[in-house]
Amino acid sequence: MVRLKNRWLLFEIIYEDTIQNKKYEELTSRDINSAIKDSVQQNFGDYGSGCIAASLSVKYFSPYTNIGIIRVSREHYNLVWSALTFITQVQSRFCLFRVLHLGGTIKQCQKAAIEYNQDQLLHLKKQIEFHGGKVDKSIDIIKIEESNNEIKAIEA
Amino acid sequence: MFYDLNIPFPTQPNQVVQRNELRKRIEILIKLGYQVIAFNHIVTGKINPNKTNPIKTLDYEIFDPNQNSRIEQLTRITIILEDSNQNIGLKSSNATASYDIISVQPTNEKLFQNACGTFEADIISLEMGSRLPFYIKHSTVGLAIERGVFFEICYAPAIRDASSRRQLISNAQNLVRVTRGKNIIITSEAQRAMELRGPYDIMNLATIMGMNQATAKECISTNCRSVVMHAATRRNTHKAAASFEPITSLKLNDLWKIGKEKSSNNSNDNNLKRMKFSEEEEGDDDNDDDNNNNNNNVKKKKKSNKLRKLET
Repeated sequence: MVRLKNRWLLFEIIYEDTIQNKKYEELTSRDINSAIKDSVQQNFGDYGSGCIAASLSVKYFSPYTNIGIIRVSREHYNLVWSALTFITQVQSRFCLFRVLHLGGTIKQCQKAAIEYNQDQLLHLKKQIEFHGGKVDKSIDIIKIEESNNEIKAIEA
Repeated sequence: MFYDLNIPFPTQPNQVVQRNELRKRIEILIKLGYQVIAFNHIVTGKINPNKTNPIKTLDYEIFDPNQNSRIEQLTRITIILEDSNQNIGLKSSNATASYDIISVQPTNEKLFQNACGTFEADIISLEMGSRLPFYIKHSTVGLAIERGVFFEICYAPAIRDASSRRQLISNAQNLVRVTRGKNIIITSEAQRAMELRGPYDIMNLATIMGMNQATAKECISTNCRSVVMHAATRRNTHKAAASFEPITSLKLNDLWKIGKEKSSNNSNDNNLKRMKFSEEEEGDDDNDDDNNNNNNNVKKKKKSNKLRKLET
């Protein structure tokens, strides 16, 4: 039998208001899923929606680090990617999607996600250094480490 | 290296709101991984020759001092052509000389033909978010490709609303078909920070406009570089064959070029700003004057003589 081959997209959401705003609820992977499906419906119509309905799933999304992993069948990753590009808001919050990594296996995506988290950690540490240790970022560091563990735990 | 050669510059840059918006856009651009951007100033019709470049580039220091990400900032003018009788005077005008890149936006077929065939511009921009008033023909486009002029696709209208998205995809596919994917650049034209997209997202977007991945990548990297180089040769060289530099900028071990030993460094012609040659080819009056003034100095230069031989 022919194996069903997938593509894995690691994406990042960049919000218009960079400060964590309390008036918005934290997004879940279900919100992301419906946002993608809406965008596919709008841009590629019924045919597009049908193509991806079986294979699309949001494997992971962290509202804290704003990164997530999507699985989609290999034939239609272009379609989902462009649908991501055309998204301008999720749950009426303005944002933009940016794909960080496109991989053939989930392992590579996990690697890329952890690398990205590591970069964020370094950035935080630099910021602490810059402010002379006056700002407290310990919560952020814990959250990133938590997200690392979550990413490692994802199973295909 | 990724380029975004169309960031609209605010019309009233002194206003705090517009200035903050611009800053935000640049911060996002840096985050997305662009390294060269060009601020765009749009002019309709004839250019006022006395008006100089209103674009002021921003200091790097205002951005996060932790990041040592440097972004190169260029300036660009887009002239919207409306009247076919209009004397645009792209080359002679002082106004255009103060910009790094010149682009034109023709609004009818005649002007599009002229833009492809003769105008001294670097980019031909078309309003792709709405229906084009003429067909893009291969014969016309071929002229532009031969001259090394590039066509621009701006993706921000496609993100803004659905009807422009339809038009843009249709127009872009047309353009890609006619040019066979050559000489196209993709830029943003983003009015707001949230209309920007990452370079790899744009490459994917270009694949649904009928390009393959390799050409899509060229559209935001090497092709944009060609535009910048094309602009630089237009501004700084004579017929793209030779450029002028003051003698004072010569390095010590290059001094033999002007017939001097390394030891005798103190040159008398420090005040010489430019050298000119090829008097026969240059028809303009002011250039002739220049030639007369500099003739004596020019003759000292072996380098220029060599180049003159090459030209004739």
